[in-house]
Amino acid sequence: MYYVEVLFARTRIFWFTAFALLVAAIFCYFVSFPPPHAHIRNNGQDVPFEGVLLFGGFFAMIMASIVGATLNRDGAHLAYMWTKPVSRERIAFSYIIVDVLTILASFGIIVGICSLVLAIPPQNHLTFGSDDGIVLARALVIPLMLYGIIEVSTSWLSTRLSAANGLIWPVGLAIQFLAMINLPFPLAQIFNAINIFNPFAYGLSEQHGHIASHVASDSPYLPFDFTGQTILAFCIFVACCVIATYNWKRMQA
Amino acid sequence: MIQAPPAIAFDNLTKRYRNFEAVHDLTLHIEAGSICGLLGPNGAGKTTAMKTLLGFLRPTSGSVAINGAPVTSSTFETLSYVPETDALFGELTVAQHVDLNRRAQPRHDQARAEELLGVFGLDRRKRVKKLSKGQKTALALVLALASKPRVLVLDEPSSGLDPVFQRVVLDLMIDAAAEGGTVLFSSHQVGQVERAADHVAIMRGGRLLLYNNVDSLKGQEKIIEATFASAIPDLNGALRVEVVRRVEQAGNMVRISVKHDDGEIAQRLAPYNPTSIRIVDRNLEDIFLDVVSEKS
Repeated sequence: MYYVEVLFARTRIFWFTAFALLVAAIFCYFVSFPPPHAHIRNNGQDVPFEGVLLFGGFFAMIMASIVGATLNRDGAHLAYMWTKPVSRERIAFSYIIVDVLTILASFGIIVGICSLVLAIPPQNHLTFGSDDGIVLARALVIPLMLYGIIEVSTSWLSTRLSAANGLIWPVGLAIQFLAMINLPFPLAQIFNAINIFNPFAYGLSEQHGHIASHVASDSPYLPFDFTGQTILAFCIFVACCVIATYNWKRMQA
Repeated sequence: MIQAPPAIAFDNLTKRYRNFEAVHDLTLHIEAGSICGLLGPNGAGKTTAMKTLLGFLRPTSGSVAINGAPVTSSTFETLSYVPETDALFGELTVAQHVDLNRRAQPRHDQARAEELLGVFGLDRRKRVKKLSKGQKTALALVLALASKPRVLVLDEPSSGLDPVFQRVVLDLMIDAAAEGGTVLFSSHQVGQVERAADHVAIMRGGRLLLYNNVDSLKGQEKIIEATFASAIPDLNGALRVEVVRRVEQAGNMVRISVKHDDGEIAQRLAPYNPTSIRIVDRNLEDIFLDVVSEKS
């Protein structure tokens, strides 16, 4: 039953890659042939690989927003899909698997293109650090968590809720902002609790010079240390997929 | 001898949405090899009953069964459904839908699918969103029939189709039943049910008003058409009997709907010297209108 989702994923990946290559080509052109008086310099720099991973993670979040609400989107086709001799759990699982692979592929494409772009001017070079592994895990888990949250919040209704894919960005960022400011009791506690389920709270928003210095520190707005938060985000993603599948299976159409 | 369970069974099915009861205590058993036409005005509960049968809706009380077993995903190996609304993927082509069916349905017959695509003149390369409403219905039918179902459930199967293809659909349903399949279809068009169905179920307001064999229904009640040379005389005295259900007059002819005609009415009309008396079966439309208006 993954056939339909694969067909959609193929189209999405094609356009996503085409767009990324176009942007990369424009970037390379302007770096190689800067317009007169432009302040574009390409004088050989160390580029931390963590930055490339986070950049890839950001674009994977965009892809997660595009592919999210799969089960809700399928609400219009339930009369067709639910009358196949395949269990509803299996249909939902195949959709989610294809979507997750699409998100991971988009991450890989962006990381690959960025690495290529940075390698073209030979004087630039990527630098690798000991935190690359945990940053990679975090950069992958945030888009997955975002996908899970969109799925679970839209899977309980057969009416199309496509606005959720876009709305989650301002809502998530607003919750993150409200958790950061000093609200009175009990609002601060409420927003901090909600923030645990907010994928945007798991992003690496603070910069202390080198990204790794922030990576090593813990977010003050979330429980656990950096690795614990990454595991928590992954667990939320898995739980969201399970709940979304249960909701969808029990839905009346 | 153990009797085979009905192919489709609704047992005391009730479906309620908060304060609205869409289906009330529906008990209906459809035997294997039968074609049952489900008739009823809008809001009669036909689609709700079908959706509950297919597991899209949970019954408030009562139960449904296919061949004596509850509906599970494996039921759909031998059951196909054509919904009233378009449930296909607009972005996919006709060929991709057939391909999906081939992958998902173990009983999919590609040759049959190709043959039916040809019958309905569907272009394999066309995206579904570019098809007309009738063509979408035709594609849903192709996919349903290509799985060689033993039970076929169709909700308004001829919706959007032109009269030629409506006839094709009815013929395909008759063919499916001839091969041992069971067909349950809903329709607003009494003529379609009369042509294709051997049984008819009439629903109104969520209740089953009537379920019977079409031929025996039509045979049970008769219409006596009496033509007079001049104006119709006053027949009130002659027709004031229990078997008379309805009397209609048109020009010099009087049409009398009667239950269980035993020749009594013809005898009562004879003294009024009609030029002709004709006794015909009632058509399904008359029966439908009588049943729906009688129980309202």
